Amino acid sequence: MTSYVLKRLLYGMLTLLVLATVVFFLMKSIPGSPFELEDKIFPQEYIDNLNAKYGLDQPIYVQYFNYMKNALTGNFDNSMVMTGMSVTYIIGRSFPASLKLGLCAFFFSLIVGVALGTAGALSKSKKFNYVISVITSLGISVPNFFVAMLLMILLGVKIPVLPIVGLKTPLHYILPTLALSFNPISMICRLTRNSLRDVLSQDYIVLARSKGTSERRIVLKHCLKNAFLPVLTYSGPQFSALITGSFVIESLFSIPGIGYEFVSSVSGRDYTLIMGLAVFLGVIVILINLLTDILSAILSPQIKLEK
Amino acid sequence: MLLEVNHLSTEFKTDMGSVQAVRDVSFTLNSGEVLGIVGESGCGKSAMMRSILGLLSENGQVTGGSIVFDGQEIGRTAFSSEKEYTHKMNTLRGSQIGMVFQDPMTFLNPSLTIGAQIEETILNHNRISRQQAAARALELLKMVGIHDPEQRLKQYPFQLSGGMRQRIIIAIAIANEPKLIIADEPTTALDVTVQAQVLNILKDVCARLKTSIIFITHDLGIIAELADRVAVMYAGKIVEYGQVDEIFYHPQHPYTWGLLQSIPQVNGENKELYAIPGNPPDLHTPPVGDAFYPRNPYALNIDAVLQPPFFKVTNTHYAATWLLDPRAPKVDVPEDIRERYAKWKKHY
Repeated sequence: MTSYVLKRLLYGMLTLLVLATVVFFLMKSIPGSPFELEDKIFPQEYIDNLNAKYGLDQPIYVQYFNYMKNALTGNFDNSMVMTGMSVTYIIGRSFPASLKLGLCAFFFSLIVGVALGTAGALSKSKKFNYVISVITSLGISVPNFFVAMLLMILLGVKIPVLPIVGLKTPLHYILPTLALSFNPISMICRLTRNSLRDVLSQDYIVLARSKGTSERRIVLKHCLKNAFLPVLTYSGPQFSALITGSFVIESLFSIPGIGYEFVSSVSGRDYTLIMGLAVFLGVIVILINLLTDILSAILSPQIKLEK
Repeated sequence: MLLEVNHLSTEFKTDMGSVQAVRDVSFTLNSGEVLGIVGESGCGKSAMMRSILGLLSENGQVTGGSIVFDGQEIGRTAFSSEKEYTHKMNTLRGSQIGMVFQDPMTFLNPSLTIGAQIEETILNHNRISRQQAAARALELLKMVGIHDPEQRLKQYPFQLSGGMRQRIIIAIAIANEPKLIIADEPTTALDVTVQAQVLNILKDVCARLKTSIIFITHDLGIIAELADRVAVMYAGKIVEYGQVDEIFYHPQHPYTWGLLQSIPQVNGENKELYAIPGNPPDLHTPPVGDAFYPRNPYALNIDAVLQPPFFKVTNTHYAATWLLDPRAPKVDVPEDIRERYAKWKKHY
């Protein structure tokens, strides 16, 4: 187990190296620089000085090695656009909002999705299952900005019961959480329902019944653990997606989150911030994937971690 | 009398209509007796047994008949609601009636330990602590001949061989010393070498606990070794039943003849193995007359239009074939069967 985790962490580092390299060259391939965008008309001398200050006048491989050295030591320098602010400071300022909202959305999706999916699998009512199918199909196909705008118009403007700007009070979390959760709820509900139905028709459920085990216990003890594996496989990546922020939702609800920061860093060609955020989010995704694999192994004794 | 099944019928709903898997079956089982039920795959043996315990799949349904177990009526039709029925059955399943299943690879829960799966049946029916249940589970594993029982209790099914898993399933079935064990082809999925071991364990344990067994199989060799009485099933009906010797040495139904002729003989001459021609009928639309009519080389005209009733051969032996009607023409019994009759005459 420990050796497995160490091995995975090592692979994670390699992945990060590749990720940082790809991001670096992609970033460099976008035309323009932090100081040469349409709306910033500086004299050439000025630009040359700035380029020299940030090392942008050096050959690209020197820039690459300098950058990688900084990335590996966790030193991301200052933002090139927001003068005087370090990358670490910007992450520390924007990540908590995304994290809190993401956690709300994730746990809300997980609880509602699993509950609805279980109810659907256990219910013999065709009507109920039909309703679930329609709603979850909508949830999977409708983009979340549409849901967000619909919620804002309905519950924020037409019947103004909930706030729609920022994340000041717990009430502020409700609408963005709902907008973010609709899609994952639908996916988790479908996965739970299908895999629970599949488990319920397995031979070992017949044996459990032949022991005189109550239906309630059969679902709780014999089914959910086996049925939860596909849900977990989906939830891991979904969890990283949710806590790393959504540009669309953060923009719509004016939330100063990391998703918003990331997109604006790209449009501003803020090289240091782009790289810092890419590495930071990469670390989160890699760690959560590792955690998902460990949880799967705990859930299913047949999955062996050591290869 | 431990079990009495009267006119049991079971249907499965499918996309192509309903399949009448069990058609008006009646039989009885005495305490301490081993009843063998033989027949081809798909003849309704398993459906019949699962109907007794209410363990049919969701599209299956008992449509009629009564089941009396140990003096109590336990047929689905005797209960007003599904809930009441399930509640009653849960007190019997695992405590009074144990079940051993066909495929040990799929009938154990892959994510629960062996210990947890055995303890569950004990705790379902006894007010004892987990520790006491674990001690009992250990005892059961020793009883079914598992080495290293302490170790096995902590393991998961995928860490055990097929033969061992089947012993675990037997241990679960006998955990509460039930009055009846229903064994549904318990050796079919096992290697031949392991089959005998598993059978012996089942036989020994049941003899020790004085448990009655209903043993479903298509292997006549196992029946000959194990059963006191035999019922032969075809197309959802019992066609012949009697003491094991009567069925093996004095069979009356042409279907039983066919089954017996299909057993490979170790010391026989080098001749081709007999196979009953044709296929069992489609039970979406059960035949009007004798279901075996199209495959029966001895069929009479009446078989096509009228189902034969049971004719008495002896007090314990009955067969549903028109050949036993006094008006039926005499037929030439196949040679193998004639040899069996000769052995029968020598003994009785």
